[in-house]
Amino acid sequence: MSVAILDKIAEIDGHSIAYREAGAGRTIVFLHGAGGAPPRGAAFMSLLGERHHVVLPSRPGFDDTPVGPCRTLRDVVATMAKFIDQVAGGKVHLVAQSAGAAIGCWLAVLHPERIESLVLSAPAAFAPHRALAAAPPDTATIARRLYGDHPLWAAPPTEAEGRCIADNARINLDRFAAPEGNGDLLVRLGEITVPTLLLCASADPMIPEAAMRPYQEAIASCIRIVMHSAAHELPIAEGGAWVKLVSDFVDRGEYFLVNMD
Amino acid sequence: MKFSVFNGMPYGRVNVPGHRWPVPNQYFDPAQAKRAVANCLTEVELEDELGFDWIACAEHHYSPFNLAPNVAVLASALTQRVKRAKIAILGALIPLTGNPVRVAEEFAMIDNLSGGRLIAGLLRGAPYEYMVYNVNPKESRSRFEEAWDLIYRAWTDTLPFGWEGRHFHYRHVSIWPRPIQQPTPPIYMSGSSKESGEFAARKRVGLGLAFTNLPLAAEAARYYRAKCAEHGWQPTPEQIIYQLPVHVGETDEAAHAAVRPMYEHSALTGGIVDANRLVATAGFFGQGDAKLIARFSDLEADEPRSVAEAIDRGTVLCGGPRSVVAQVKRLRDEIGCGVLNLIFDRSGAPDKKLRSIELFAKEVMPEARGL
Repeated sequence: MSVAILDKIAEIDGHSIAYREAGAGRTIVFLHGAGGAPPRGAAFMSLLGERHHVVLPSRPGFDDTPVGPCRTLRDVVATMAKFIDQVAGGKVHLVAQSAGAAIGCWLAVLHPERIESLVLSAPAAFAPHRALAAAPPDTATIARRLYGDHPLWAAPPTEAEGRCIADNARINLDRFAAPEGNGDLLVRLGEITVPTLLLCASADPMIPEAAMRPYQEAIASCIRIVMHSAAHELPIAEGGAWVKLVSDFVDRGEYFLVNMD
Repeated sequence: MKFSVFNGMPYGRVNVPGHRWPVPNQYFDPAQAKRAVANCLTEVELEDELGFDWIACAEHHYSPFNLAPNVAVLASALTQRVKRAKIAILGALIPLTGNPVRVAEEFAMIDNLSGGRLIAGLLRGAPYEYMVYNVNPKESRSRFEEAWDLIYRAWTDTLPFGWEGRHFHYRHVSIWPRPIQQPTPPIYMSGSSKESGEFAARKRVGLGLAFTNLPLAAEAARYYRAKCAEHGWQPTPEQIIYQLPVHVGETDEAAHAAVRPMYEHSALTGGIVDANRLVATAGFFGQGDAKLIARFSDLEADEPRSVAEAIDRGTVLCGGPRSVVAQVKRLRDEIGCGVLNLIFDRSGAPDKKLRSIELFAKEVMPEARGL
């Protein structure tokens, strides 16, 4: 079943936020990584949309969303909280990929009333900033680092999308770089009480294993799953398996741990 | 040089018409099995007292050759009889099990039961083993590598984790006990193929060479060391194990006479030769292993036809003590192995076997230790 993905705009205090929307059901808000919204040929959004209402905003400064009044990471968090209120009208399941994790964690710390559960997918909040910002040696290498050997594409990314991803990362990693490696978030991570799923890629050249430990050590409700031989951009690199895990977690809550197949 | 005795709890002779594998278990005699268990446990005590460095066992299936389809069960028994030597599981066939976490748990238990004396062999197994649990040999490599990573993580990761792989899926792993030896017991894997040698080098673990011969083993060890260098390290001699049968007699003539029947009539049954051929040619080996595919396609043709030929090819140690010391030296020099895993039941006669063990311990080991 192919689920239509619609392009929409939300007006948040006069700030136009571009987003994609698909499917119906429980609302999942997907917070993208440093490259911005994933290429349109990525199959995961359509797959998630088969059973869920999926919303994928381009955060301020990314893709077609102007940076607007946002100057800091916390400004982006405030804008995203309002965005969730407007497009979901209730609690949502947050899925935060890579550099989206800092936003996702802050939303769970500051606005728990808006969050049903949190999925941190190869989260980069405590990864060395340079590992994410380093210029890729070449397009093929960066694609392999991000997507691995067997990415799940409905259609491969275009050259324009590749340039957009690179521009997004180059501009926004520094623009919204967190002070002291998100040290302020680290001390408040333990305030997250929503059920949290931490998905780690075992063959991720960008996020060291040690950078995954703080989430599990601080968040009492955190479950960690290692995705074997997986590359960094898990929704694309491990498309089908990733969608299954996220859907299962969203659908079954704490019963996620119990095999009921 | 270190010396390991392989004791897989052999059942002894079975008079089965024809050469079949699997060996039909209608020929299983409980009384003989009781004797086999008692012999094994008595022998390992003797081997421990005689100063062998390791007592080794391994997982094999559907044959009286080795009564340890679950090698952890045998190894746990050994921990209670062997007081000094290391307990070497060489090894568990991890692509075959559907549950690598169980392997991690069992090995960790054995390390605890032995007070930190486990040597952990994580192997792919011989080709024919893939018929045992109906595992596609084409998946052998990827199942092995994933199971290896999962077992290693189960031993070393100190926070609960789940696992989502191609072959194995868990939502919670947090084993108790962890191994006594930290971060892990010494790990070995089989390395006759190039892919295995490269994997062992990448993971910085030891290499075991078994069911092979001196030229092939020397080539595999060279390849492994070259790959280790590429990965920025060099293995110690103790990280290369070579396994082979041995028989020591009072003289060369006596020793050769004791094992000669083994070479006049192939030790391999037709059934196991066929099973190895089928699996070896059905995707078990990688593209770069044409020699291994050819060898396992016709193992009988590869069998030495005389004791002298077997010694020359390094597939047996046989002779009086002085000759065996020289043969050990040759293996050490040409393969670079620092551990020999010795199979002592080549003569088929229990009294000769025990004498061979004693002669090796008292007259070969003291001379060969410093090699």
